[in-house]
Amino acid sequence: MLTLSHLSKAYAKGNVKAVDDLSLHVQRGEIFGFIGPNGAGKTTTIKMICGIINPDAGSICVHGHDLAKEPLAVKQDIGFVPDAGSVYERLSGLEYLHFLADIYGVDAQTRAARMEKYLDMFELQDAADSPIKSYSRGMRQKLMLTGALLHHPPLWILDEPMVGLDPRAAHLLKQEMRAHCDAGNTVFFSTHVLDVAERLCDRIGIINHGRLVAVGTMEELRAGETGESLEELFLELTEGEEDRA
Amino acid sequence: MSQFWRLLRLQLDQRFGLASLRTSLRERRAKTLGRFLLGVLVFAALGSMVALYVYLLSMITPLFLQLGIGNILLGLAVLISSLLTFFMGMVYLIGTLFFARDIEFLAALPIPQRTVFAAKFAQVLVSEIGTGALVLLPALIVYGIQAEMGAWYWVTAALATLTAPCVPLALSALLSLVLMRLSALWRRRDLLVTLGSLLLLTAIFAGQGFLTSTMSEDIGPAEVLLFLRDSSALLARVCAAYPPAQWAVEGMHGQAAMMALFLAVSLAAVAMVFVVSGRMYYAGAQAQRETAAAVGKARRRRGGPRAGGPMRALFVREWRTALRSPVYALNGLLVVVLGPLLLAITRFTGGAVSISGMDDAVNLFSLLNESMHPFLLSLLVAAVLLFISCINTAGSTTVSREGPMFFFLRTIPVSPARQAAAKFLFAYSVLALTSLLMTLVSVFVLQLPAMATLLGLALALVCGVAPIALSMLPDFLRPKLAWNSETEAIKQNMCAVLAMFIGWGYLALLGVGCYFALRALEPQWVCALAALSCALLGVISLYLLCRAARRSWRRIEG
Repeated sequence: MLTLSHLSKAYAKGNVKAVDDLSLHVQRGEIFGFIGPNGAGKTTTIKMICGIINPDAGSICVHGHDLAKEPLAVKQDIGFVPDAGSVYERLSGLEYLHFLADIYGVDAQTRAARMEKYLDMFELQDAADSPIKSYSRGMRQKLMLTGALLHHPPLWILDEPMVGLDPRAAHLLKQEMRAHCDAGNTVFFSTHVLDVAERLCDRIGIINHGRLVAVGTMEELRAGETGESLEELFLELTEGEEDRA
Repeated sequence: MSQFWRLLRLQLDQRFGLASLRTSLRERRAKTLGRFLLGVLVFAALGSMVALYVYLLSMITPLFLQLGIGNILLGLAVLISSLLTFFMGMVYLIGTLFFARDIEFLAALPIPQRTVFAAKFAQVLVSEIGTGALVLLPALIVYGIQAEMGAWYWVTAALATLTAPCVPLALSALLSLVLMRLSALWRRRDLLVTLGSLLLLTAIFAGQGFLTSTMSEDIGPAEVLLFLRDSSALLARVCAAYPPAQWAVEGMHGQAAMMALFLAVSLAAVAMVFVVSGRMYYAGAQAQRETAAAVGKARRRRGGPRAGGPMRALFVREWRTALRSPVYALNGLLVVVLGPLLLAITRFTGGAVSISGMDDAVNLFSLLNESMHPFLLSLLVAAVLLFISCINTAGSTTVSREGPMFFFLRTIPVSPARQAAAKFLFAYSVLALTSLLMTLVSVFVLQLPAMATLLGLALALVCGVAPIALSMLPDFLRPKLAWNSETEAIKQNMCAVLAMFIGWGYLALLGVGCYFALRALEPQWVCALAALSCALLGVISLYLLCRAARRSWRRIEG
């Protein structure tokens, strides 16, 4: 579903390597957790996959389409929820959703059904007509999640999706992620909440200083050591990387 | 006091990018110097207009001096620069004081609201001194040289330049404080601010028109002779609507008491605003952040509007964003309303002179219609419509206004060319709406011949494609995406200035072309030729715009 091949991105004339020769493959039907310390390169990687920034080297392939050659086909297959919570504040929630539905070509009947479903699920029915400017951080996050699912993308990319969500909404989101993958789709998300990653993800990738330091299932990451939590593994792996750096 | 200076420094650093300029010069010298050069070129273009203004002043000043009424020129210069400051300053103040992104951040700090207001007001004042100086300084310098004025004049002229914006800006600030405070009481605050500002400007224009018309009602030859003998009486008449202009002029001519009065009133106006702001500023500013939610589920239609394509969605979003932001609406779409409104107001606001003046205009136009070839009239109508419609700051800043949301445009499955087309349609629709409204007012108010005027409208719509598309190029190639307030995105944006020059430059070339064509061809053929060539140039311009979008979307990283 998602293949990253030797992806690199540097800033400050190459002095700061945000992503350094990253290669990764995420399979269809998988929930893939992408974790790392602050400034590790998670958001930069996600932005490159979504076409927001250009990689310096490497390739990105989504659902069989190369981002460099078929950018529109790739973007049609992605539902992206950014970390920043930036959204068009002057529109109402419904206007924003209809706008996205038009952009992604969702027909009237389908969009109505999906809006009904997700607005009910995230308890946004009453706020749907209000300007987004009046929404709390969590409400905006829920609205963006709804917008990213309207066109039922094969690949759902979420950057820190749990931030701002109340426990009930977080639980519903996790359920929805599982259901999305069970239907044959893929979820790729970054998070700092290791507990969620450990329990939810089929596979996890750990990035530090722009490099992928570990990838695999929890069992593979533990490599035979029982009882070690993801947090312990994470600290061990990233501390080792820092020592080397 | 130190808090005020620190805040002012922060505001000026933020507004003029001074802090980042130091980093840019250190790390991206070539690119920064390139931008500086571009700025110099823009100023050179602006300078040519100022040079023309100075040339005109140097021609008419000796005439006025010979008649002994040279001070009228100074009075007019102070009056015009004050009016400019009042109108432009009001919109600038609303954006900076109430819609800047740092208001919440500053409100949480242990800084009195009066200090925050003062720092932001001072930032606007510094900018408006520069803007006002473009009108005032040339007049002061030309007059001072030609009248061989002494040291007192030059010193007081410098003081007048620095303090002239104080009173009009203070008035603008007071009105904005009241308007914003009132807006907190209503759910649809943005709409109230936009409509309130529009009504206020309309009322001021109408009041100005009424005052002028009543003043000039009883002017006959005897009165004119009296004025020519008594220049101070004429100055008082000219500056009746704004006495500080008279005080400043008389102060510059040696009347120390008048200059002291002007300075005192200027400083008192600013001081009064600071006192009022201490009670009202945050209430109005924070209200803009507290957008009330819609009431109830009754209006919600899940089925919503008919499903449309991406172009329609992007186009509708452009209009919604522009209309729902008071700053964008007042700065970018004001021309749509103000042009036709001013024509209509002049016809209906009080004074027999005003109406008889319009009757004279109507008679003049009838005469023109009888003596002028109808296609020639159409050309003139098209020229006027295009000239005004080219002031399209909403269209020429459509990419800059995306700001931090520009990243979104790179994630959607819509090609940059199609996105550019949607943005162009928005800008073009502003031109079309402005032209249509002005045409309707021209036909029904000025009673211009309908057919010729409608033909002029059609010509303007065809010829308008190229200047609109070309004027959007600077914004597509180098958008200003990092801004702290919406005012910066639309008003303090070089792209908007460049757009106007490009649009008017195109019109000037078109005008020259038509002029020479009229020497060889009949007007109807010139109209046809203009339409055809502009249509072709329009297609080329659109191609260039789409190409610019493809390049920029690849280059600009979110």
